Amino acid sequence: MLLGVVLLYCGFRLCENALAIRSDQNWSRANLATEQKPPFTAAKGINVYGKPVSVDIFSKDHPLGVFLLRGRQLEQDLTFWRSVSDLVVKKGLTLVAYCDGLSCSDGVRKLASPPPFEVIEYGEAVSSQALLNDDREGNCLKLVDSKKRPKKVGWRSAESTPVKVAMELNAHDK
Amino acid sequence: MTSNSLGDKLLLACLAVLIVLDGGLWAYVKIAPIYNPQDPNLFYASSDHSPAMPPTGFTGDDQRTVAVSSASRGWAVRYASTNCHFCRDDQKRWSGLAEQLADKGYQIVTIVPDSQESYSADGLVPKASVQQAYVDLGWLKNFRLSATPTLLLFDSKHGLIWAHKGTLSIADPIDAMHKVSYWEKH
Repeated sequence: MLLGVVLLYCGFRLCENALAIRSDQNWSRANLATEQKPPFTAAKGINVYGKPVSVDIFSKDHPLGVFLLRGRQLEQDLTFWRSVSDLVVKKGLTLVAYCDGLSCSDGVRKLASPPPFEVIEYGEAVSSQALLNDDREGNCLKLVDSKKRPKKVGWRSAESTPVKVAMELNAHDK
Repeated sequence: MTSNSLGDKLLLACLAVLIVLDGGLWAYVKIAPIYNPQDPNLFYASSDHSPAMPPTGFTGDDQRTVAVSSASRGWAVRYASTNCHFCRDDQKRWSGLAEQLADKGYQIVTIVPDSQESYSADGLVPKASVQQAYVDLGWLKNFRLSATPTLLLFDSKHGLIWAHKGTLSIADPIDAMHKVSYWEKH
């Protein structure tokens, strides 16, 4: 009889532990469900000159291209995107750059001739992290619809050229 | 005699069932993966884990935020949003922890995921915290802020001393304050 009581008590305590674990796991699943790479929805922020920038209207005919400038290779990145800009701007595409830190934004501020696109220094956390994630994979982003995931366009690989990237950014997506 | 023997058999059967059930529960508790709230993926792989200066930024209405004072005893970043129900569920425990941190001389920075999700001045916890809707990417690139709420605590030397992703459990504020006290002495 005593053994039965002991077993019931142990069972009760084990049930409590098992339920607590289930609850933690369910919570974790619910929380992790939001942990996919966050989407980029709009280019909003403060540019390197302290002025607000907001590009949240774009379409198939007027897409938005966003990319990251890295401080440690700023000159190289700027040369690439100045060339891309020459090839795409007349075709209705807006380009917006994000700086990856102080060395980049200081570098842009010191330029004698400012780049032909906005350069954001302070961005929204979700969009900025989405872009940082994609830049780690060597991509920039093309947005045509704020409700759809942006298209990734590779540009940091050795084979990428401004002409190739401009063609991809200009291409009409289905 | 027969009924006694039947009763004994029933009792033995019940005990056997209880033993099997308890064994099963014990095995489940031992082998079930337990969620670890200290997310090992908080840092980006490219991050050098070196002390990170407090984030600088702007509010949703484009006003530059006051920088964390260099005289501060430490600082905290809470990544949270008005649209996140986990953040609302977490409000009571966070409020208690924020008060303890403020008593220790910690400054608190609230980062919102999107400028549309900014808190009103009355909704901020604590009210004296600095809210950033636009954040310096140089700071953001170090930390993987992938879920709200996330809380990061830094000491006066800007080293990360405690982090938690998700709602705070009852033990978390105690754990966080232990870390704060520990790093004050070291």
